[in-house]
Amino acid sequence: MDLNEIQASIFINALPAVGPARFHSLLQVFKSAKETVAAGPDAWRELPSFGETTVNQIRLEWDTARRCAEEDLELIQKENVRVLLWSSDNYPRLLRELSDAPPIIYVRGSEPMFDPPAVALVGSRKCSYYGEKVARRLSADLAEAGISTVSGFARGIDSHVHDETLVHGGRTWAVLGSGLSVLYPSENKRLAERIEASGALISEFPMKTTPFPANFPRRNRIIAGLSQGTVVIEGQIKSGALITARLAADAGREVYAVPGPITSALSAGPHYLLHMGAKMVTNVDDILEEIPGLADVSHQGSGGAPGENNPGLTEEENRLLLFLGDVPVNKDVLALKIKKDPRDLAAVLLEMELRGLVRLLPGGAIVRK
Amino acid sequence: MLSRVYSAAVNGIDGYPVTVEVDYRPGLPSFSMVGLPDAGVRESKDRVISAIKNSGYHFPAQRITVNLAPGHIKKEGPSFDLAMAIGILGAADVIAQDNFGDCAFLGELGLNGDLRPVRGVLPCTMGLKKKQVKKLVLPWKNAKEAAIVEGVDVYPVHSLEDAVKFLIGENHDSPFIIDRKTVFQQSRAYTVDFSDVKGQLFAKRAVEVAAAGGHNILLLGPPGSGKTLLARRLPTILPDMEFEEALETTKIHSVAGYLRDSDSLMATRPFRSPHHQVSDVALIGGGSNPRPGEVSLAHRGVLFLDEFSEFGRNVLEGLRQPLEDRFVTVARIANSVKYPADFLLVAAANPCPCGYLGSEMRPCVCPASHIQKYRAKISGPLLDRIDLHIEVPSLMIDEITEEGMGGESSSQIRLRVTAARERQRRRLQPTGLFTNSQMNVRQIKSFCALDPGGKALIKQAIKKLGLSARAYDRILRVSRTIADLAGEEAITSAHLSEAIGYRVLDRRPAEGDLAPA
Repeated sequence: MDLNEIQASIFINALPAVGPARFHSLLQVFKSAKETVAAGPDAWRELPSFGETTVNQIRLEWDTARRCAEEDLELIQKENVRVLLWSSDNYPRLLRELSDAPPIIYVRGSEPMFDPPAVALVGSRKCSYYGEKVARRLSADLAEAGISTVSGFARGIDSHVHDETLVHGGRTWAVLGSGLSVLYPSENKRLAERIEASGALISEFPMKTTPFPANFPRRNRIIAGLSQGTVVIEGQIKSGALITARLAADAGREVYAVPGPITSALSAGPHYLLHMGAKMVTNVDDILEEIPGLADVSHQGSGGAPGENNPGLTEEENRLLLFLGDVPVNKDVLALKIKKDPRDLAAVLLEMELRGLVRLLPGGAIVRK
Repeated sequence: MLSRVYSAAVNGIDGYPVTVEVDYRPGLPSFSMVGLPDAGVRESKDRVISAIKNSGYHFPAQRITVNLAPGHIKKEGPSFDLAMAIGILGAADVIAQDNFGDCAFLGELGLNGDLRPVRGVLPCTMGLKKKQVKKLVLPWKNAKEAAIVEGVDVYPVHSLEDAVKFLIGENHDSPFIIDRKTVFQQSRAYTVDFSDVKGQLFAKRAVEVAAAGGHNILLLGPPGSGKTLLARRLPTILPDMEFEEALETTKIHSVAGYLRDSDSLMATRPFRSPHHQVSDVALIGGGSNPRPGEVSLAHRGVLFLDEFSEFGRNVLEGLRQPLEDRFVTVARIANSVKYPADFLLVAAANPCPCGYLGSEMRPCVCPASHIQKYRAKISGPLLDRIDLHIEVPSLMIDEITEEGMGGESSSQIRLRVTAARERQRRRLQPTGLFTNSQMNVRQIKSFCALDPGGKALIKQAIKKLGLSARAYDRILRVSRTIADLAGEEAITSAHLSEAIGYRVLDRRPAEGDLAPA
């Protein structure tokens, strides 16, 4: 095979039996991907991490991987994807520091600029309204402060982070658990286009890789690796968000956690991290403080708790808002608490919803906007 | 020798008299039947022969011809048994014909001569009354039903022998009489009551609005949130039935064979909840011998479609005509029948495929795209016929305090509903309509005028909440009803706001409810 360095890297990356660790040991011995492929699998046998069975496995995969690599090369052309090699200069500096940094990443989007500081915001796919609100508030404030956000393109918190960063003119990186030709979840197609306009979609997987569950923990190390710190917004004890936090800690990056209501299962993850010594985040300054070179950036984060009385509202509306918070309250419960007839309350709530004071959630619950 | 006896049969939900003529001629013994009897009626022959013999009467071994007139309508069922037997005995001079000239007979015979109840007795009796038949002999179990009709004397009997004895004057029976007023009053009570529903203030209110304006309603809520509980109680807050309405309802149920022996009148509004695998014929009515379907059984009451999204598309499409016309026409080549079908539709569905969207009990596991698909599925058929869609939340029990739990009884709510209906009836009189839900676009324009504040509000709501255009008329219709419930002639912003709240499926999903598009 006559391949250039990029083609050779894509090819090796397409071999399922060669993960990042083996890839790196190959590079160490053969100095380049090109030389590695030229030497062929029989020469790889000598390496400590390759046994007889592994090499046999690789031989079986050889042809499939070649076809996959050829297909990738075509897709890369067609879909405007650039391939960054670990060995090259344009590879993200922070990511390179990881011991198991991906030897090759696929990037689609604007000119990759990984040098400005970036912070990962991660959390549950099924986030609560509170989680969404926190994700959006922090993303907005980070964008205003000129910090990029990194997240995993999933539903829930991830999508809110990407979306809100873009809304505030920030730059955001989305790391996929699938190949770049396979957008998952598919309803985020439009979001992907918006991300590419200023940031980029990133994946270490061959273009047509499907979102296999085992891909996601691997993806998480890239999320952690690209960022100076990782903020966990909501997540259960066993969740991808906590895996990301652990990987961030392993890589020596800052780990932050946002406290939540102790009654919610989604707060268990962040609270566990807080117990373990993660930095508590109540506003964006808590994040900025820990980022070197940014301590002097004076930034006024959005307010925390809502004020007591808003003068622009009627007494009744203020009274209602007092009962409402970021945890949804059911209309029926509200009616009983403030002892108001449902037909009158319905009218008041709709009025307030139209003025953007409250929001009606599916299931008939109300939250403060 | 010839004899002639009256009986009756049902066409659609109306009864008509049938004359049973029996003729004897000497010749080889035979028994033939004419006058379009179906296979079921032909079976009467064997029952009648055995019943006559086993009751101790002589069965003449001659040529017998039975004719069921009018001859152009197909006859079905076993209800002519008794009339045929009496006719044969009359022709054989066991009973003198003068004895049963003004009498009609209904009932199925057993082989031993016992009499069994039949369906459709009420419409048959009403049909006979028109023919000026004065006496009706029928099985005991049908007596209460027939006795509701004034002007026909009902003589219930246990067997063929009883009937013969009555006719020849051996048993001096007096007619079976019930007090129609008492029966009507007694059968008005419901077994369920609105005060059984705990909490659910908003849903209860929406159901009240639906009842007041005759609006069809869709309840969205997780399993166990009380959708069925609410729907089942909707009939109890509808205005009390008039006697004529009760008679009509009873006729339909009698024809369908669903009337219980203990009932002579159905004075409560019916509640029908067909399973979602119901066939279109069972729902709408039809069959080769046409029968009323669920929509007609729900006439003047409530048709409840639980698991609305699971009903077959063609089944739901079939509901369009009855929802529009308030009757069903079953057309056959020989004859077409019309069944009334004026019902309130209550549909219930889960808010998402897993059922737990917005529930506090457990988290929803549906991806946003599935929820969108699911919503599109329930929105597809019939949603343009449903004025209210509301969410029925499932609440953690400990969240609800004891106070304000039970709430009003059905009779209290029914008073308001009845008053609101009366306002509507008076306003709509020139148009010939009865409820707000029946108003068309032009009538909405003239009866639902908004003040400038109201116009601004609805405009803003449509823009902000992304309400679809079709929501507009429905909101006006419902706010008319809300104003009627409040006893006010003008529709205020408060009425309008409440009505806008009853259109959950029309709302554009707010950003964040579903992942950003």
